Amino acid sequence: MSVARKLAPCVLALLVGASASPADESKPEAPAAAPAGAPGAAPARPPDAVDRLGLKFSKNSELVITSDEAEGVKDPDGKETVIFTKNVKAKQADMTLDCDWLKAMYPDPSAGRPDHIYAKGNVVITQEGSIAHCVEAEVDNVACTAECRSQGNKATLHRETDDVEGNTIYFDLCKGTVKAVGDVVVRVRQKDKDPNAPLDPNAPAAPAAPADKPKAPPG
Amino acid sequence: MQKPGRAARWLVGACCAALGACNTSISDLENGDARPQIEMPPVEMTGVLFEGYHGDLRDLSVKATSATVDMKTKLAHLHDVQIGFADDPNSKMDISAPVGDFHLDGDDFALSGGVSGTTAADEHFKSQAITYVSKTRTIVSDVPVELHRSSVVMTANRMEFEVPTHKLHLWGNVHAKVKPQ
Repeated sequence: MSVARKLAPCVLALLVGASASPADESKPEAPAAAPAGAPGAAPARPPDAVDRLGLKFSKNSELVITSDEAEGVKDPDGKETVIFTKNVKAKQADMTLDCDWLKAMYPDPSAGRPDHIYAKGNVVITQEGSIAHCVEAEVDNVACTAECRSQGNKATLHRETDDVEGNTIYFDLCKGTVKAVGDVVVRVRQKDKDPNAPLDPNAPAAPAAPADKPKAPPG
Repeated sequence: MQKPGRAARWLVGACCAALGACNTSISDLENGDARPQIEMPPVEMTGVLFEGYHGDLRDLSVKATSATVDMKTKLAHLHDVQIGFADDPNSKMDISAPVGDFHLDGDDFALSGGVSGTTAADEHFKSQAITYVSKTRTIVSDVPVELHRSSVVMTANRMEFEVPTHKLHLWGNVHAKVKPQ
């Protein structure tokens, strides 16, 4: 199966996201992008990782945040905020978030897990070959969503030979889907060779996609 | 302002009482007697208990299995110390340590030998040694510290904890581990 055909559902989903009205921008709802393990996906690949363009986190995994400094403040109503600064790294299962500044908000003393995480400064989110870059990011653990935003420069998502750019990239971390909004550019390049792709002697030869050509100009 | 160092001052009073019991009064030592000045040996006490102090919205209690009060160095050296203090009932903190040093002419104290503390919010911390700086009303640990809160475990090389505001500062290899729910 060609790369272009495999990524077609994702690209279509991104195009839908790119054409969202400004009113939709305030709603971090991920579109129905290619679901993990969709029909037509290469059966030899882990369906939950390789065929996913977005990011997905494991709520049942341990969250570890490391930094050089931290400051915790407790509100009178019991809410607690911990701000991590300098060389911040948050890791949960195979997802990693690097940044300069991270604020974790705990809803009440009994809640061990922060319900909201806000990251600023050189934010890099990586998972299974997917790398997202932005100036600031917000993770909502309750809604299971994340926003990657950039001021001036675009937020980017890179995976293997494919790139997505946009003013804001929304992730549904439970579904593993992605939506880019604002000046969206999607680049899908021909892979030289995919070592994980199963051999299919009956598959028709697909024409090579032109490299570095924007596939989806902003609508 | 009332401060935990008052416990140390109480120890001074206890020390004086102990000296009085030994027929050696402070006034005798301080007046211009021709007798050679007697250097007081450290006073040793056991079963030290000081509690019920209440002032400026702060409760303070100090317990220790034994104490050595040295009037020369103005230091009260306590063993198996338990300290409890709070600005209000919700901010009560209990700290225990094998060793405690109270400065008699100041309000600061130092705990060492493996310090552990708990708060009213069921949080607890561990450190080899801490100091209480009365000027800033801050608990300081200049050695690695470990804090537990619900399912969160935090470790760092240094800690400062502001008692009135419960503001926590951590420095050096800060590590926060959140266990899965």
